[in-house]
Amino acid sequence: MLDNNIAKLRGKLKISQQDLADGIGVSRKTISTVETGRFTPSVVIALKLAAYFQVTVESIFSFEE
Amino acid sequence: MQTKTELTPAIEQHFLTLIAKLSTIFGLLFITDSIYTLIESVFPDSTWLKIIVGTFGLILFIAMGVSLFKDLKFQGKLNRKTLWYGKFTDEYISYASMKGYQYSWNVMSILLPILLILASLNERIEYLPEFLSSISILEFIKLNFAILMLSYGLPILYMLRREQD
Repeated sequence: MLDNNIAKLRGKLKISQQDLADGIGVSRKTISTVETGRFTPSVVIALKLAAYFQVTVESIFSFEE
Repeated sequence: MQTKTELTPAIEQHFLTLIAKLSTIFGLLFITDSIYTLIESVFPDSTWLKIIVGTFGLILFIAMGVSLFKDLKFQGKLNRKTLWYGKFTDEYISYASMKGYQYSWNVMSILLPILLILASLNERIEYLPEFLSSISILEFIKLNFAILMLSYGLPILYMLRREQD
């Protein structure tokens, strides 16, 4: 299962899902479904998120078997 | 000078939601129409029932018109890939669109063979109720079209439902 820290990282920056979505050029729905684990994003979105939060992809996403 | 407005994920979501709504309304409209015809053939004297179903159909038809012409933000901004193949630039919108196609394909590819088997069996042993075995080709197409539209539109509407931040 793919786990993520997007909500925590958003909380640190005090930004909404819409702000993040606008920041990386995706829909708010993409952010909300990735955040809740209902949708697995592509590498492109993962890299965009990492660049936005200025962290590594591994620190946003973790894989649990 | 003409300014070209960029196609944003919000516009794509708006477009797909509209298509899903129209698809669902079309589906309900055709089902209502088939139910109306069925009521007429099974209960010829039930005027009140026909009025209820007829009014429901009329409301759906008006809702469809309103949905179609209300707030056409995406007008002239969508490319051929989006219109014909349901391919969007936003990942989740594209995923929802593909899911809609998958559901409708799966439902129809299960339903039609079942109907085919029932129809061929019914030719040998008449076991279907009278109103089902005497259904016209037009009604059959309407029902299939309704199921196709609903199985495409409803999953998309569910996937694109509003959620809290």
